[in-house]
Amino acid sequence: MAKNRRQPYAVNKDAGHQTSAESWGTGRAVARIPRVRGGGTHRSGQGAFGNMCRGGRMFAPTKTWRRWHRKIGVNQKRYAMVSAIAATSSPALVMSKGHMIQEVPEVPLVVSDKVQELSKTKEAVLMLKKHRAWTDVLKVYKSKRFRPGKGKMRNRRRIQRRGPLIIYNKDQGLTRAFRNIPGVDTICVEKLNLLKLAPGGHVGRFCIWTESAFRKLDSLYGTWRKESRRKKNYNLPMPKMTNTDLARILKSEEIQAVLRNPKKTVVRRQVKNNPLRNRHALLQLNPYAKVEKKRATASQNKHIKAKAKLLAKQAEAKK
Amino acid sequence: MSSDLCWQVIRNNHANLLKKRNVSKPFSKEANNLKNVNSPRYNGLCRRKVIGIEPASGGKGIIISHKTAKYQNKPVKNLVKTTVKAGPRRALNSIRRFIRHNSYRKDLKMAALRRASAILRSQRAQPFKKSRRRTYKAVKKE
Repeated sequence: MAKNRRQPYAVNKDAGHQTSAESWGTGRAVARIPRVRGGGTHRSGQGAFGNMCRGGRMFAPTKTWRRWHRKIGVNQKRYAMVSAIAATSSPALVMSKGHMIQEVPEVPLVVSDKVQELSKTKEAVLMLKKHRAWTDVLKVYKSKRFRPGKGKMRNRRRIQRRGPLIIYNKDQGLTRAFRNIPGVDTICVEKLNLLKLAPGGHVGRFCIWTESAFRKLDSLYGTWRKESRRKKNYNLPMPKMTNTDLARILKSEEIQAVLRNPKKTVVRRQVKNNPLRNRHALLQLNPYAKVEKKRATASQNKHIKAKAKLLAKQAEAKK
Repeated sequence: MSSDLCWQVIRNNHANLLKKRNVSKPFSKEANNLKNVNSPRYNGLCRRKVIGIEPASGGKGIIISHKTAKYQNKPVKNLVKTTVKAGPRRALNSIRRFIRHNSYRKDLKMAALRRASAILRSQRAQPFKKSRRRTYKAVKKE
């Protein structure tokens, strides 16, 4: 949507082509790019007509008929607007946008209609201070700085933060009172602007509503029970989830009844013992090994004894 | 607005996010984040129950802030701050007891204790380091 405020820019359509240059062709020990004709000036013999040449036209010269604006469907715009308004009512979202609303007594902040009659900036400042919105404005003061980059040279020198947005029903001096306070914007309920409600495309601007402005919201956008009175055939969009509290949903009866029990056993890494070296492991795998081994040791002992006997006999025989 | 929905809006982009190069898990600077990490568990704005631990002014003690269950849309009344000026053992115990007895964000218990002890440790008096100084006078005397 911010693209719709753009003004077209383009290069002159003749730029780079206002020469009758022709290539010298081959055989002259120069590059084959078209060169300016004639003689007597610097310009003669220089390259022309190319994006690589000095004084030539750029690659793909910008045209005014570029598509600068974007059409967005009415319903989409309303959906966005409605979501942005909803977001301004959540202190979490407004604080996450960076507004200093720690001291604000209530969010959404609705103020009596007397604010619409304010005419002096001093009174406006006092009102902001009383409602604890002044810290947000102080943050704007602190954030005044020069824009980094070439924007400085292009009439966009200074930048600052956005402060509170005052939404009124009837302007009886309010805009002029708040005009000079940095960061503060004022807007009429009937003409709510998404670019002001969600600056930068991020929802959650700190909004201060006057009472009658706040009351008008129902007739402007409808409630789910009633259609909007001011917009033909419009009602608030249906949410994708009626209950977004995941924790609550997960703990609800309907879901818990269907779940199996949680597996609380912790499976830890088992050290694998080598059955060839670890008798216990061997016996686990092959219980018959016990018998085998016993038999083997028995027969081994028998052989040892027999051999010993034999040796003894031989020794004796020698004697 | 539920905390899950709020987190979905905020998770990638908010005023206190710190995304830097070569840092895979972004940090977050909001006040009541115990680990200053950008995560739905530790986020200090999205949730209904939140614990924050800050150093008390004056260099001694800590401030424990928590969100009450009521007044979720009244930021002034929502956050309750209690200063604990007692020694470290008492401070940590008070945190532990608060979390356990009120069953208030038990998943934050260790993080809260660690943050508090880090703060308290930094508030301890630094041990006196004798700096090596050349005392020319002494040399002269000799």
